[in-house]
Amino acid sequence: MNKEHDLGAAHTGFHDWYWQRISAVALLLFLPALFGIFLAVYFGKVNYFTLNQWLTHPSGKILCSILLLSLAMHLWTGLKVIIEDYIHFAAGRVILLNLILLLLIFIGGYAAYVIWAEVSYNFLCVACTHLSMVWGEI
Amino acid sequence: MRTSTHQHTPPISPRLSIYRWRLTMLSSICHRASGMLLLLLIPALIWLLLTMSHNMVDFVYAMTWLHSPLGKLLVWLTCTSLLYHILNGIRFLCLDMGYGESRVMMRLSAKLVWLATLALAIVLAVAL
Repeated sequence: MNKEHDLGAAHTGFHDWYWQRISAVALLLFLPALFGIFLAVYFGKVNYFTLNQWLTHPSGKILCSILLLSLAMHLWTGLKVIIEDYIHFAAGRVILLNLILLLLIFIGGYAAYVIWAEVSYNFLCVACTHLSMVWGEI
Repeated sequence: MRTSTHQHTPPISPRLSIYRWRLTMLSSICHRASGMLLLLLIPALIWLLLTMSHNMVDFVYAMTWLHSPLGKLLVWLTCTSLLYHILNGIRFLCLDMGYGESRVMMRLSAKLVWLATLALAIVLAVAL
């Protein structure tokens, strides 16, 4: 590669590019595995108890956390590139990117809480609340 | 023809309206498009999986919802765009490492990615 002549205003372009590739490789390993589990559940090959055992086991939690982290990283770098390419109004771009970063941190934090906290949490929809009342907590 | 004012305007990178549409260009645009779609879908599916793994009632509810027509459409859409994004992502990683950078190979790999995606999309449409 040629030596770059203009690093851009923030000088972080290469790091973004590099971490996008790193997270891509991590996702390439973990995401198909998780999606395979999802499809197996969808087709009825894996039941509730096996799924519960896999995803609440410490190693399952650690793998989920690595997946979550690399997903957030890939999401951030990819979205940043798209926004920087298509939104040419600088102030709007900065505000949008910061909002997205905040949103990512909140969603990532919530997902990490769900992975690590031993809680049975609900969909928070009327139908489920009704079902829970009728069937009781199983 | 370059004027002095033209040199000071920063380049706007995706010149979609200027370049002629080709398969390789379509591949790059669709990589972004499928990425944006997955951005909306994959967190939802991971959330669904975690919900299903923590509560029996939610598991039953989510399964019945996923097997409804809308749920099936969502699963199909996610599978197809995820597969395209992964295959094209492998293609991009190979290009970054310096493999298959010639024009012929670029077009061939783009064609292969599209054919594989199309084949799996049809298989999934039948299987789901």
